[in-house]
Amino acid sequence: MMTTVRSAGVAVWRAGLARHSWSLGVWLLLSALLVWYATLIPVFGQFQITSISKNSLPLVYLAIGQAIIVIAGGIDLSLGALLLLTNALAARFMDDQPFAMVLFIAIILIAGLGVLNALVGYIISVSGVPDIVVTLATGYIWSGFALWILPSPGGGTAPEFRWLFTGAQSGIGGTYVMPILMMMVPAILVFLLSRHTRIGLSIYAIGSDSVAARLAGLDVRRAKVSSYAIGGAMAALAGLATVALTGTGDPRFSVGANATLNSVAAVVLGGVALVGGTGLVLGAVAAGVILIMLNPILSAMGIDPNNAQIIQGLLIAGVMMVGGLVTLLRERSA
Amino acid sequence: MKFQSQQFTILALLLAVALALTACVAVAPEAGGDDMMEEEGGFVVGVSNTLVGNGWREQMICAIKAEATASGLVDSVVVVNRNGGPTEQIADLEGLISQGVDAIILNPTDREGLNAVIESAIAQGIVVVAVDQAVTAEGAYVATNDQTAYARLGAEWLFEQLGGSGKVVEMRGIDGVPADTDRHNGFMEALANYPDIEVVASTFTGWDPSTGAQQALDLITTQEIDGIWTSGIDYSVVEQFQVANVDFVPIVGADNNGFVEQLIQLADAGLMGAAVTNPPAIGAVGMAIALDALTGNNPPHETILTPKVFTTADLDSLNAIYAPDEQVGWSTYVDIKPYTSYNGSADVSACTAPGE
Amino acid sequence: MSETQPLLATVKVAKSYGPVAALQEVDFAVRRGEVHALLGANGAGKSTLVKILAGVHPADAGDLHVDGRPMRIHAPVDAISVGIATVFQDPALIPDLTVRQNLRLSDIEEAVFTHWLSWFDLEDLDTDSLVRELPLETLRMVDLARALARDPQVLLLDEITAALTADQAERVFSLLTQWREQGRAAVLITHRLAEVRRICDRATILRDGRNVALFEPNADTVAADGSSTGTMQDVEERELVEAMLGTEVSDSAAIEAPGSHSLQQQKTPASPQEISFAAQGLSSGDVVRDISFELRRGEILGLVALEGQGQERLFSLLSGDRRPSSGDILVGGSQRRWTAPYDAVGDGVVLIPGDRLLTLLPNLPVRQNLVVPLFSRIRQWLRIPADERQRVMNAIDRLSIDTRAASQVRRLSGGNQQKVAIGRWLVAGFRTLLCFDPTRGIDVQTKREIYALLRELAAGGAAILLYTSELAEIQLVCDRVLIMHDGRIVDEQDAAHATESSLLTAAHGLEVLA
Repeated sequence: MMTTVRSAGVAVWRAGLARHSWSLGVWLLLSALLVWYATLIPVFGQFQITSISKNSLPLVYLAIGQAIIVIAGGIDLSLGALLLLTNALAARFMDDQPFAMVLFIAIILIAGLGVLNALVGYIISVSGVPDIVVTLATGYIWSGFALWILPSPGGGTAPEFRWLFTGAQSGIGGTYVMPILMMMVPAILVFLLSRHTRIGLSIYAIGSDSVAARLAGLDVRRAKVSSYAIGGAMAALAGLATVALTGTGDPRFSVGANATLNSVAAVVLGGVALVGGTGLVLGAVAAGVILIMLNPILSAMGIDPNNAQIIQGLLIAGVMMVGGLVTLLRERSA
Repeated sequence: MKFQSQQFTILALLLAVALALTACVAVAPEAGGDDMMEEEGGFVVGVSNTLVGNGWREQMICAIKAEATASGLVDSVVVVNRNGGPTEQIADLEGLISQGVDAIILNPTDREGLNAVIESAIAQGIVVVAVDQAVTAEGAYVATNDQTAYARLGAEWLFEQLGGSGKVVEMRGIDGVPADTDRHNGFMEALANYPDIEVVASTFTGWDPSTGAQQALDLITTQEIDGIWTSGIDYSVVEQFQVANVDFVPIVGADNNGFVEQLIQLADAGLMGAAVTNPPAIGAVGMAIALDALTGNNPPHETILTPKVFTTADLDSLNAIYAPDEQVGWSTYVDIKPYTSYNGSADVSACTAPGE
Repeated sequence: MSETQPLLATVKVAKSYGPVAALQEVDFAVRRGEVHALLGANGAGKSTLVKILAGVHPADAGDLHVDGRPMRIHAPVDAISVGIATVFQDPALIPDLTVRQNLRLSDIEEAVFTHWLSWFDLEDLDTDSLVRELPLETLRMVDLARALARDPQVLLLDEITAALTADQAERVFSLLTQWREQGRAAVLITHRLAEVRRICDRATILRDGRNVALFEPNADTVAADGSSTGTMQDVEERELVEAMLGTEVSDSAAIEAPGSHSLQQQKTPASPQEISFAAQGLSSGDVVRDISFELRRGEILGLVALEGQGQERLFSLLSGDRRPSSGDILVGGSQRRWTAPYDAVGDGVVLIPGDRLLTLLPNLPVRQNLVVPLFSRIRQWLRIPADERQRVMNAIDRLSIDTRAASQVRRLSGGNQQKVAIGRWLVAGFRTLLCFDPTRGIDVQTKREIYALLRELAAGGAAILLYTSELAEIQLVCDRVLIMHDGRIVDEQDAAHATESSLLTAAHGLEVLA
């Protein structure tokens, strides 16, 4: 009796492992890269772990937000611009404010951008205009607002707020506990939300098969709007993280455009299929850290910086091709 | 069961990727590892730049490499070069710190945003030199070109040429960029002393040669103009005089190779002009300062280069800096004594760091 | 339980898709304690009615009553909340989630669900398996158990038994019997008339979007012991088939009218010609099973099947779009292995699919659509064939395609679009033509032209396989006809003697009386 129970447990565990092998593989890849990086540089300790984890925060937040939206069958090209908008708002209004006020502003921004992007999701759902078109347009609008709010780099935030994201009030050389906590707490919260609540499962459902979801009696629109709300809130968090990292605001358009592209890359690398319905938020988290780590690793390897982007592209293409090949083999044998 | 085994294949493949990568660990330190050891006092210098595809910045990096090679004190130069803002530059600087470099030369994206990481580097015994633009971090060395003086010296030369009265055009760079603001201030300083000089037009070229050329063509064909001051968009402006077949007026530009060539060759045709230097070799100056600091020579923390003015009145000195083998956009003023130890444009253009 | 108050009723419900009226003034009522069959030929409007009842599509006009009260159902969730649970032909389960997650989504207690699963002997089902990984028949049972767990008053079952084994179907029937005894109701949409007779109490017949008959056998004839069988057992299957077909003048008469003998006369004499195309033991999973036939030059071979009997898959195998799991395709006597339709076209085997817009380039003009197949000839990539214009003009003339209004193919009428789809192969040349329901939704005049063209092509030596859902037209156009049921060829008839009734009977998998 005991053995059957245990073997059933093992079977479930194994099935789960197999089903999410991509996410697992990305985490293994991340571990391998960390080990490798540690051997490339003379010292690997608190400074390096803090550096990697805090510098990854903006991309990881964006990747989580993008992952949720992609899982729901959409894509949001305005996430980078939302990051920019939050960055501008936060740097402008947090400057010289006490910590309590700064925290209050941060919460308002997270909630506000969640609502703002929910509105975008609602417009997409009602109008039937493809996600990519609407968010491309809103992306330009948010970038414009960001420049309007903060015309040139500047502004600031409270040192305690910087400590929250970086582990140090100066933004550097602090403890790695804070950035890792700030990375994993939202990641695990959104992960649990996506896998263990009705609204989360609805998000998977509409991305997997929106017709079946509707026939099963789900509110497809509500799920879509929710996914965009989470995306907006995560983009706000990413914008706050950039302010905390640098202590200033930087409203340049290219920053937002880059961030959007990287979030899509992280989502794809993290095993979230762009067709929607599959993949785990946690995979995108690991992929986000990997993308951030590539730069110091390639630099430490002495690779010409002009080739670094090529290698980054090759890595993404290579991993995706391996994935595609496996899928193809599986379909053929099925 | 078939499904499961298939999915384990994915797992196995990804594991293989991971293993393959870890396998590289064994090889990698051999390739680039030796510079970790400070054997013959050879230094490792990191360079951080966040504007890619810009000629001036590329020449700056090449000057840094050339100076490193010429000094004989540097083992390797690690360049971290990508487009980005303070967020990316902080990450890049932390990466350089992690690599254990002895000195960092950076062209900063922000005056204050990088202070914490710079101070953290200094606390770990790394010499940090900000070039081209300043930072306020304590303990950091700063080497910049004096942008206010750049404009003031050029404008003063122009106003003197015009005998203190006439109609001039101010062709600026990009609105809101610190360097443009500083230069405009310098221009206004000079103007304050010449009450009879009238500024009939002020344009923003965006530091783009074709934009500047179009603006210049419009101006010289529609207005009476006695002189032009440019923020570095010079040779394409001179070309417009030839295109429109209008007589040259005195013009102030930068030490761009194309402009210097025009000043030399068109002097007989009546072209009068001044090339004011804004050298990207400030990078090499930064390298020299870093090496001074590393070898215990205690250089000053702030170095501000006052621009030199090369005019058509002294063709020999123009000929001395002219680099016939280089592009029109090449900044000809590369030898900045007493800082640089390489030999002219050819060395900089070779763009080789030690060990390359 | 009131006899006068139907549990679920529609009053004069109408629904159109564009210009096509799918339902017109349909009155349909389901009583408590009955299993009601909803029958009709392909395209009669059954699935449209089910979709309206289930809240998938709103009705254009008419009312819905639940328990005598008028109800507005805008979305599936509304239908569920008033006690209507539907099991669709394609299970409404999310493929990338586990069974358990699907239940959580629908807010269904797992215990209730497993109770119903055990009714179908599926209590061992691992609810942690992904829906995508489960076989179709299991999914239908899961979908049904989920519907039952919602504790509905009315169950709508669309072809529920189609993928089930006899044993599982048996369990569904016993469930329905119990359901009836509880005073609830079920609507059964099925092609299996034997099931209707066995289990149903009443039957509504739809034809061309209208309800044309209601079979309501006298309730007194129910077996006195109240046994599990429905009262429909007293109705002959042939009566049902006749009701589905109707006695009105059909399109076929209209097609024949103008030149009554023309089509018939064009038929080729029964002299044996060489075999142009053949299938030997073609199979594809469980969908297409062991299909063999020969297609001769100059022959039009008809194919008839009810919806979902594997005909789509068969055509995708024959046209090179999909590789068979076993069996061979022979062209001109030699075996072919195709990896893409490109290869099939190279062998002169071309397909005209049911959905015209699938093959046409809707935003391009007629001329460009006609020359597309020529592009695939490598030597002509750069050079436009000298006679291209002439060939195109010939095709347009021959098909009398009305090109006046249309710079874009999508603006053409359905009939003209179909002509373009055929015309491109006239331009490119072919030997074997596979036509999948080419006259669906096309007016009578164009239908006639298309059939005449097919006969003309056959007379010119082409071999044609024609699948059509319009049974009456088989006799007019075809030489022989194959009947497909459940993935197999179950019958072959001489087209000259094939009647709608004999074809439909065979298509239902029934024995045709001589």
